[in-house]
Amino acid sequence: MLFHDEMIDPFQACQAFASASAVDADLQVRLYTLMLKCRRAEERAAELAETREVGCPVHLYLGQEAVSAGVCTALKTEDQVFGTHRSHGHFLCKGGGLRPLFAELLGKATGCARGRGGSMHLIDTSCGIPGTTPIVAASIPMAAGAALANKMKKNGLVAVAFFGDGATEEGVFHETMVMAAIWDLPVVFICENNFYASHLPLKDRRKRDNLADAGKPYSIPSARIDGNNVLEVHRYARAAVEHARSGRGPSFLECRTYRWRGHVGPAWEWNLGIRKREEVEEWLARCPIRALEQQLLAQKLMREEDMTALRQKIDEEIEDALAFARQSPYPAMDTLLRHVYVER
Amino acid sequence: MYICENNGWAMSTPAQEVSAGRSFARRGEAYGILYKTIDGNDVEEVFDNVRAAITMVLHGEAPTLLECRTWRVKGHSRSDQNLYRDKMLEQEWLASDPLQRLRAEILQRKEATAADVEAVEAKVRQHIGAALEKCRQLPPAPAQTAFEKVYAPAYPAAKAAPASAAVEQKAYWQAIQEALCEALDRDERYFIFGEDVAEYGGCFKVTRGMLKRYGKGRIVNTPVSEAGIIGLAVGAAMGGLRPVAEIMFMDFILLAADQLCNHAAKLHYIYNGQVKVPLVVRTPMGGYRGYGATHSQCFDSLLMKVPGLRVVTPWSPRDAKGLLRTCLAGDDPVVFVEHKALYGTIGPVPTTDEYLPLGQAAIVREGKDITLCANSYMVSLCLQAAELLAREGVQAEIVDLRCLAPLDRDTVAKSAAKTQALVIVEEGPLTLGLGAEIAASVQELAFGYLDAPILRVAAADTPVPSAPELERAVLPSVEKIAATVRRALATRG
Repeated sequence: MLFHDEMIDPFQACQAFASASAVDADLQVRLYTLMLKCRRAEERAAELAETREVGCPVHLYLGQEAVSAGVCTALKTEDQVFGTHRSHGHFLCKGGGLRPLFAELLGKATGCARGRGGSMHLIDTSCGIPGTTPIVAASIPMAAGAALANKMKKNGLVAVAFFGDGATEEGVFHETMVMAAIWDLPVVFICENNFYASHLPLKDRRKRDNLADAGKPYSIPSARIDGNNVLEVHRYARAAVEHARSGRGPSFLECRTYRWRGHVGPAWEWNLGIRKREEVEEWLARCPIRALEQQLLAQKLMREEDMTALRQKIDEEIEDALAFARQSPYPAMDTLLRHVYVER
Repeated sequence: MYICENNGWAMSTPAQEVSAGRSFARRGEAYGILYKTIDGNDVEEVFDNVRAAITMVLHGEAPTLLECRTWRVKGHSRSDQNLYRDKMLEQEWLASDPLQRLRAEILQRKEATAADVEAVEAKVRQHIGAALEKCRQLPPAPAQTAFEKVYAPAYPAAKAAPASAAVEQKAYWQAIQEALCEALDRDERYFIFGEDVAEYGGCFKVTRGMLKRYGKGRIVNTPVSEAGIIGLAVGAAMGGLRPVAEIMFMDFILLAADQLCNHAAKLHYIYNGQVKVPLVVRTPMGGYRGYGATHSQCFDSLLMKVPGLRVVTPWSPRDAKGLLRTCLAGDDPVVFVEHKALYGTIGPVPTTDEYLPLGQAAIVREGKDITLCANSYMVSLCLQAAELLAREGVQAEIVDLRCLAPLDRDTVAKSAAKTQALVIVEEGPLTLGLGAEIAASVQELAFGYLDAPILRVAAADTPVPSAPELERAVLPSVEKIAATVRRALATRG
């Protein structure tokens, strides 16, 4: 036979697993904490963008937090994630700090990219964030490349590409899917389908609402999941990561979620004629954080007052990070020509 | 209708080694494309399936994808000695040679006799031999034709409004939109094609409101597929339309570089003028907004190096409109480079229709002491620097190049000969930029007139950083221009 046969679908195993097992209590609280941290940090960043204290463009992840939290908690610290222009959530969930994030937003020397990157270029190599890229789809081949390196080095690590629905329209997505499949690369493709590429609705860009089929032509196991259900995201991500780590190759997850604010900046963009208010409100009602909150309360894993205290603690951390960023110096001019090329 | 000729080999690499999935054809599944794999060595099977596919396409069923399994008999190219293929497999495929199969089929069905078939074969052989012989006797193409048909000839005659003409104050974006609307009003072959161009009105809102006026059929939102946008626009232009494509940021033009540089720019020349690619690609360049390394670049001088492309970089609203009108009316592929920092600037635009000529620089400020040569947003900085210098008693002349390909070297050289000193200002990185080309040209044309070294102001040879402090340090500024002018004049003694 000229072509590979269909591979084992890790998500079939996952479905059995998902119904049989629950995510333990500690992890549920951790997921909640991570999502809340993303949410509060970005709401603060939105305010700073409104007052122009943050000058670089800011693409907010509000509403999509369950995807980054659910996926990143399925990974080891050394596993790599590659993000996009909308990566505050990926950065924080994978272990990036609030201080380097806020300092980067303000263009300070203590920022995670020393002020060179801004909101769209985040990095923390100490916790598996080799960089985010705002060129649509560029995270996809880079993650596969990192996976190739992991495979060649036999280090047992997994790489994850986060990307949006629009990225599946770039040629490099398809090129990468082929290479990831034929070499069984330890990579997980996380497509965050928030239904808009900038301001273009998915229905204007795709014949059918079948993004989860995108892996099928390449025999890459694929699944469509509720990206606003953090426990579901986590369970599927764990199955996909396990599949990759055990040498069985890539998988593709379409996480259906929603971008609450506009493409860039803090505006809600109610009145651009792009999306209906009812549509936004429907998704606001499906807030991933509130959903988990209710479950935590129902299961008595947390009380209202625990949640209030947690929110306060997170807000304090955010204010500390902002104060740190504000007090930090701008990058020194004599650093300007450094790192254009590697220094030895 | 897509026909994939799966001949089993990508040069020397077997297809199954580098393909995922059960078949090429199945890729159609994810896109709602009807697909089928057929025996590409059975010409009758191919014919029947293609006929069916045509019917489906014509009835608007969907695009179709036919994967025809076949075999490349020889190596990939002349230098390929074909040493890597399994001999058994090769023999198997050669035994299913499509000509031999059809021949056997015809004879078996008694549709022709062996003598008939041989007669046809002899006739074909004779025909090819005669054609080859005729070609051998033809003279080689004359050398001077190598310089012809790089560009298509047809441009409207330049028509500038007289100085007395009435003007209206217009924003840069508005001037661009007016030129677009005029084209769409005048000729239904024009359409707007790009990401977010319809409801949203384009990333920088240049096409705002046009959807209402022209409808979805002509203001076309595309997927996030830059290579596809330019590639389809090239095809549409070759197919007789006049697409106006928008690439959201000039940085993203690299994603479409193959379609733009290897195809749009070269097809007219390669085919000796038999095809035209009347395509305008609009795209904004430039920094000064904290967007960082991947959303701030100026590739205007990079594209100057691609023969066959026109590169137009207007500074004023008037030029934006008058030059775009010319580009839209012409038959060449044009990269019309706008600037993010200029969209809101307002200036006089004549109420009469202008066609401003490509390749003609403009003197936007007269002066006797030094020439500043710039394009796009850098002209704004030069004007501010000139004001600063005027207070020091230095009268700078400013040449706005307006267009980089074709490049008006003469106007710069004449101005430099007059002022005897030249500073070139560009926003892209210094090395091998616009300044290098202008400096080389001016010393050729006006060496004896220069009284000071030609100096350049450009971005540092670094990516553009996001932090405002760093970005300011990397990019040209009014202060840097003024300081460079002072440095040039100081050498005069």
